[in-house]
Amino acid sequence: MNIRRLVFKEIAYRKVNFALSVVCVAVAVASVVGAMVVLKGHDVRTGEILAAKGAETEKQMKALDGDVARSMLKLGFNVVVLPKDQNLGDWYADDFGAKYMPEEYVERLANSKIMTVRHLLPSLQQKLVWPETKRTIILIGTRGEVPNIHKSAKKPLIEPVAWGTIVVGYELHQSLELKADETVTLLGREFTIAKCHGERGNKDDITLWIHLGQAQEMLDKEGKISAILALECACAWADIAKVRQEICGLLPETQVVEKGSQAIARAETRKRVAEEATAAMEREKQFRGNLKRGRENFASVLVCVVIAACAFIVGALAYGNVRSRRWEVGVLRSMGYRSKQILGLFLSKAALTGVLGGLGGIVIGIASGVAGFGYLEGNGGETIGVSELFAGSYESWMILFVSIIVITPVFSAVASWIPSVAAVRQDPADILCTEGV
Amino acid sequence: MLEVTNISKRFVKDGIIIHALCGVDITVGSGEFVVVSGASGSGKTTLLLGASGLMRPDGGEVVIDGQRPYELADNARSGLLASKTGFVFQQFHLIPYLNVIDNVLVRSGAAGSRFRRGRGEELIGKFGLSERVKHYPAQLSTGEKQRVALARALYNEPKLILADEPTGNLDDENSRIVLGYLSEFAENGGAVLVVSHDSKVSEFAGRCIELECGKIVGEKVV
Repeated sequence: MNIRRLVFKEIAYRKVNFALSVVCVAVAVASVVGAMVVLKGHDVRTGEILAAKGAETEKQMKALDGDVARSMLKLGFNVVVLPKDQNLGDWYADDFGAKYMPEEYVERLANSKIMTVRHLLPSLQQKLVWPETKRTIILIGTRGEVPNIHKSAKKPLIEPVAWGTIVVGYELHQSLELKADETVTLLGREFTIAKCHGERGNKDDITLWIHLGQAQEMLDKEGKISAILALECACAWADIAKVRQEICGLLPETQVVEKGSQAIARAETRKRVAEEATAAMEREKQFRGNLKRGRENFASVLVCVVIAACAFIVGALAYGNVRSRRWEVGVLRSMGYRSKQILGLFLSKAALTGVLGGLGGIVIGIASGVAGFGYLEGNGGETIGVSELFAGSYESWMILFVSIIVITPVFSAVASWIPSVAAVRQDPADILCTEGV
Repeated sequence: MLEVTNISKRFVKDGIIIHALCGVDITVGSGEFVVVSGASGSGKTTLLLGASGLMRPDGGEVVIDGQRPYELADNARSGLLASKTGFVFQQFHLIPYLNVIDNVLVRSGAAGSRFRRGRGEELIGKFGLSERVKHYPAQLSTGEKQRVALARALYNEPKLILADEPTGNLDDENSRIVLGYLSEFAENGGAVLVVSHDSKVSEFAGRCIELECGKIVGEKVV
């Protein structure tokens, strides 16, 4: 007859007492495991929400990238290369230059290795009165895009105006009732209307575009241009200083100004959207963080209260059990049982209570934590799967569970320790006298 | 086998000092059946507990089979109790969650004991409890309970049996059966010290000691 057999026999005899103790330990463990499951579930769900938001933002950003690219393609010019002696105040006021530079500059720029500039459009511009119609117009001579030999061929943004043809701005063709393929006279020369532009709501509406060579002849500016419109790639929009530095380095007799560009506005809008998305992510993170802190605080209080209550109940049950078995202690001592053996009798029962309660508590804790998480998240009962819960943190869960299996017997033994030691330390003769030998 | 020399014991209860034993000397040799009788409060149980090594006296000396239990460490004293003595209580004190055979075999878990199922079954058979082996104390009569307690006390083949009012809860027939076993144990070389106020016990004892107010007031050899 060993202590183990005595323990099991006693447990079988006092089933209710033992079951209550196991349930108490299981509840205490379940509260810890349940809280851990809820908090882990919170982390997993937070990760999912942020990943979904991140993916959505990424998608929006890609869509915006497309929009910006399309906008850039249509809107074109970002910088204007002007002669160095051009008064910028006049240029900004009149929106065209009165100074000139060699047309050869555009060739030099096109043949350079400047990577930030993609599309080059030389032009000769002059504001004048259209003598045949008495209308003030802006005459632009353009030769189309000058190919850059160091870059891959791209579709030109603007088609050149053919010799002898003219493109007419909206206000002009509307007021003069001009139509495509008609013939108009400008400064004594006849031109066939190649195209009538739609309304743009800017100076383009009073502009006439002709071939650069013809404009140079008509304005007596052969080999001269007044500006090079440079359309740079989308990646350079945020670094205009670099574009300016590169061009001025190649063409010292020029100056570079930024063209008020809708593309930049769009890019800024895109940036703001990105910032807003980031802010939204931060707000979500903050919300989830606050929610987690609230849950942690609640869980820590709940767990402490539950553990304290369960420890008290386990202790009280142990005390009651020891108290009702005092005479048994006296009898066993009279038979020659050592005090350590009798202490082992009570503490091994407590340890077994802890092991069973710990195992039960783990199962109950996972189940209640999973169910409780679904309730707390309020997603119509949608909760976290056990596999999702363990994914990526299997080892830490195992460490927790092993710790519980180790700690709960100690926890139960500690709760039973005082009454057990008190009973064992008591003089067996006192017990036997008190119990009415 | 048992030598109790000049032992004294006092208790303090509600500030009043009670002298339970005052210089009592008792010797119980092998093959002797000694009964200590006296009125309630005369110090019988205190004498028995003191003589058994379970209650340290304030003064005097106790020697069991040549060993002084109160001078031994806890483990050694437990070993002495397990191997040399057997205790029988008035209330039987059978362990309620163990059946008859386990209540006898429970002594095998004590210090220095070994598990001998055959010995347990032999004692159960000897005391006429073979049909009750699997029964629990709650299913036994008082006489059967005391016989189980006696079997438990004898399991380790002790040299000294100490019994406190062993017939206190038994009818005449069962009292005689139990006393007969104790007498038989003494005849076989064992030492028996019984405290009782039951006059029947004296019929089986070889020597009777009268205790009064913690002192021996009379002794007679039967």
